[in-house]
Amino acid sequence: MPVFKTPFNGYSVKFSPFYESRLAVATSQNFGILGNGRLHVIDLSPAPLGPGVPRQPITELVSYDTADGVYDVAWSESHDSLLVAAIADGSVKIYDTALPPASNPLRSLHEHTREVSSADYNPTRRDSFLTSSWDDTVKLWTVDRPASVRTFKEHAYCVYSAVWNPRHADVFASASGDCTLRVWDVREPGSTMIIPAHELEILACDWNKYDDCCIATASVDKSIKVWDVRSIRVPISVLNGHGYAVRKVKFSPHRQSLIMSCSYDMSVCLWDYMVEDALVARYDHHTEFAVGVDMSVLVEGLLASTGWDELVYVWQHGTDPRAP
Amino acid sequence: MQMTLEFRFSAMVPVLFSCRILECAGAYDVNDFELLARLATLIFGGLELLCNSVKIHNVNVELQNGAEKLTMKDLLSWIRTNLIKERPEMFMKGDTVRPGVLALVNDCDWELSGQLDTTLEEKDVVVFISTLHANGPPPKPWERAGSSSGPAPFKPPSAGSTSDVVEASGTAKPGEIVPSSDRNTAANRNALARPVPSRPWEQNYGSNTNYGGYGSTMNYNSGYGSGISGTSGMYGSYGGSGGLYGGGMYGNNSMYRGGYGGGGGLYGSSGMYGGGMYNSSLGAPMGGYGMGMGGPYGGQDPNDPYGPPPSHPGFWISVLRVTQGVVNFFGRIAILIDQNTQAFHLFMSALLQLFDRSGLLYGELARFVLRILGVKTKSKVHPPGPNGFNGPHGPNGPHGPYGGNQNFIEGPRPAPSGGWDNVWENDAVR
Repeated sequence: MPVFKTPFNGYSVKFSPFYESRLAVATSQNFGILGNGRLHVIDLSPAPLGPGVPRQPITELVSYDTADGVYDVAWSESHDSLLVAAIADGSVKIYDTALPPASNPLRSLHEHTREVSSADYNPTRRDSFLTSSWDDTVKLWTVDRPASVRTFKEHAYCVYSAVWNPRHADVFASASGDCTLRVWDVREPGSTMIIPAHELEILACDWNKYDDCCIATASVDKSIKVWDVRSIRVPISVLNGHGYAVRKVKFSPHRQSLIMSCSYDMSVCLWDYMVEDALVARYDHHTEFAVGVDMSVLVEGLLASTGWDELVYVWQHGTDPRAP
Repeated sequence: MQMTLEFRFSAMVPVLFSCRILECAGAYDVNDFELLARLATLIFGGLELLCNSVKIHNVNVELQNGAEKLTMKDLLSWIRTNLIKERPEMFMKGDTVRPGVLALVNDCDWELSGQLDTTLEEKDVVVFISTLHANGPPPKPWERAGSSSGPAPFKPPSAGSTSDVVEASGTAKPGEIVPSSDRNTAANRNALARPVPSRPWEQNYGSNTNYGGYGSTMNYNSGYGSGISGTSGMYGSYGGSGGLYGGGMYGNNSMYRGGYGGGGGLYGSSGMYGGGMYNSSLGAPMGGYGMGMGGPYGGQDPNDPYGPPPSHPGFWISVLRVTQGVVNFFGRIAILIDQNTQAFHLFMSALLQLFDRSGLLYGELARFVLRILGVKTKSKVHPPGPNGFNGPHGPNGPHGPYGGNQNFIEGPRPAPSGGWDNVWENDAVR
């Protein structure tokens, strides 16, 4: 599959929930430390006509420049052209790819006081999204309001990721640098569960799509742990194999036990947490930190990753991402 | 009385369309001139399919019965008559929008601004969002499968929109902004497995002229330094010299200040880049960093035996102010390192690359300024100090680079033939 070269360092990549060939990529200049950012919406070309016919390159539909790095992006689940971008200057921006560039961003929401590290759109109720930030808070927003609906502040350190439960519209989890994973219900004043999941910072978490009580955490301690929120004393499974901190973790939308992760060891790994030899595949195509991964909801086995080597790879599981 | 409007629809899928009142025409009176200047933008969500799916409309709105103001009521009835081609009930009920269509005037719910009586003013932005027929994505694979694991410990989902649900639960706090001071007041802070370090950007930069902040920063950072050198021998050279940040971070600060302030006296600190970074292996750049640390913070280094810096506070305030802008930068670096203590070499190469660019830039700038000022600059090639870290003039000198010290401007010099003690004494006398 072809690759897409971004001018800046990749930070996040997400498949559109509407179109199987569309992706959004969040990038930041100078490794996100200093400088601008850019949000790309890219389109895969249709599958090659036959064997041996080279695939057309990935095309860019549109890109948006931001004044600071873009750390994460999330597609709207209700409108196929809406994007929520988490910007390093603390703002949350909403883009509509259907509108002319002059009208974008549609909204710029300034409430976080530090870098916004993640954005996640509610997949079940589809009218709200979460952002997490280095200011230790998670905020809940709805599209129709200019201000956040609620702020969740309990974490004692940067919150790196907040993810909705795919089956419960009111439940989400947040992973923080204070070494805890917290589970929240938007109707409750505080968190409903605190899981001291790792000894070191937790950089990402994701819910199992087929088991609403199962959640995976990725940590600086190089491991991925899978938890059942009903018995949080010991993890269901511990996945070791990454050489450095694990940056992102994702459950497969198609297989219950399949997990995808990427790490500062520059590799992208697939795991099956239910079997003993958990590592299913390791892809070493990135030449810098791999910081963004996603799995297509619409095409089983279609994977995407991005990293600081300024490349976005989209490939079918089992094939070589670098293959033309 | 007429108004010209431009309508804009988003592509293909019903997401948004906007309409802009471009101009008004007709029989004017004094009030009409006010209207003439009125611009409004309307954005609809999920509704242009009702209007032939045409993206841009140029139309005229006629105000009825000599009305002087365009209200939402007028606009809606006009849209119904002129714009909606099919199924107006999808958009309107009676003379208002149907339940489920949200109307916002300037990002404010129109219920607050008077609903139908809302007057549209110049540059108003009106948004209609349909929560009813927003098209969802294809069903998720997991939605077809049942839940596989017994009862969940979650409360059953509530019906209604998210904002309604939150408001019904009494936990809504719209638009809450959490100031950094408030952050530690939250109640539920148990289960921390380790003490959380203070954030790199929260260390008293710019808050006052108290140098304690720097001191504590140093401590924190030397923690890092030792951590790193502990895990990998490769970085041993950082650890001993007061930590990685102690070197890199502050050295770099001086570089920036040099660039921003344009102060000729700072040239020496950008000289540190030449000092060892470009043309040497990993060890030597650290020498370069160390030199930089000498900058303004020499006086604050807890280990500094040479007393406070001679500069006057006004200067320090300005230094701090500039520094604050740089703190973001280091905050992010620190976070990255935090996540990454083990993969540090990669980060370091990234950092070097960055410094390469900025260092060159500021170095050139400073050289140019100095040439204008008639100051001759020497080659910046300079061996690291005796301990690979402290140069004779750069770091902990009692005179910062700010007293207009020519030695520093000229870049670090090799040590005089005498002992180090003599060097310091001489300096102190001067």
